[in-house]
This record gives sequence, C-alpha cells and structure tokens, in this order.
Amino acid sequence: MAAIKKILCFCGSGLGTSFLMEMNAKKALNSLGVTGVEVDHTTIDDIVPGAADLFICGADLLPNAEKAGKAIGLNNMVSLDEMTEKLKAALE
Amino acid sequence: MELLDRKNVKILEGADDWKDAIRKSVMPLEANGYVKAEYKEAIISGIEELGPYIIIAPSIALPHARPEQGVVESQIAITLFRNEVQFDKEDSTARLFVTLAASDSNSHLDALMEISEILQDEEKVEQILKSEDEETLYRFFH
Repeated sequence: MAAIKKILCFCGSGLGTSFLMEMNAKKALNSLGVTGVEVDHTTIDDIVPGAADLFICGADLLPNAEKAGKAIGLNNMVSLDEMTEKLKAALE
Repeated sequence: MELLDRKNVKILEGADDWKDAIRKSVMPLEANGYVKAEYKEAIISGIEELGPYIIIAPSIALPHARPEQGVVESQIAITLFRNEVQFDKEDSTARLFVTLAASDSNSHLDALMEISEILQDEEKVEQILKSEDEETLYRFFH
C-alpha cells in the first residue's frame, strides 16, 4: 500500500466540521509520532479520486468519501480519542 | 469567546421538528443582523442533501453554511433545547445547537478551536446540557 502523505478532512461546507477534524487529525498524528503528512480541510465538492491518500469525514458522509478512495468516518468529530484510534488503524 | 454575544445564547423548550430547530437556532443571528434570512434555509438545504452531517458529537449540532449563503458578519449563537431534536436518521438527535456564521474561511477558526476544546470534555458537555438558565449556559463558553 502506498504511504499516506496527504489527508483531506471534509464536511458539507468546508469550514466548520472539516476544520475541527483537521485540528484533531494533526494532534493525533503528533501523538502517534507521525511526521511528513499534509492535512487540510475542504468541502465535499473537492472529494475526487487522487485528491488525497486518505479522506476523513463524519460517518454520514463516508459513502461519498469511499468513492474517492481510502476513508475514515467519525461518529464524534470532536473526539480526539476516536480520531487517534482510527488514524492509527488506517496508517498501519 | 469573542464571537459569542450574550444575547445569542438561548434555552428553549423544544422544536416541532429539526427544520424548526435550525430556524430557531439561527434566529438570534438573524435578529441581530449577522445573517440574512436565506442563511437558515441554506443550512436546511444542506442537511436535506447530505444528511445530518452537522451533528458533530452525541447531542451536539453545529449548524452552518457557507459565507456566500447569507452571512453578513461572523458570529456564533448557542441554543439549548430541553427536549431532544430528532433528525431524519436513526440515532441522530441533538440538544445543543452551536450555530456558526462565518463571513470568510478564516475569521471564525479561533472561536471554533475554543468550542472544540470545550466540547471535547464529555463531563463538561454533560453539565452544559443540564444548564438551568441562559446565564449559566453562556458562562461555559465565555
């Protein structure tokens, strides 16, 4: 599997929830000791194959993300624990 | 929090349905001129299209749409419903509505970061949901 170099967090509008997920993804990567991964946030309209190596979104939008590639869906978007756990699994 | 005015913090009994809850939670922003009337309808259309993606954690919704969909000035409103609001999906309910109006992609990020810090603390969220009056609710975010 190709290494994950770019992660895109997204929500419906690209400025609320997606930003919260970006912050937590960065914190989670730090705590996992992972470096050299770019994390950004955007709107669902930008989710196309190749836009990132990993997509992160709310569980509701996961089917949209999976069409574009490897993806994580979160039940609680402010939970750092859930983000860390799921990111860890995705990076293994 | 800089973007949260005391008069935008409300405690309400309940709503007829989730659309009514969105309209009620946007009302303080509309009444005080931070958003235009079309903003709440943009939020509702977004949820109709994509599902209740604004539910960011158990019991917590973050209604928001894009700046060009009717935002005049960045601001936040907080509405706590005593009764749960059910969305059109099983297990999708919320009581605390943190309504966000962002006039551009950056001006609201500090406020969001603060909100996220507060809402990460599950014990605090429990207390917030039990707020007996608006002043108490406001203090959690102030």
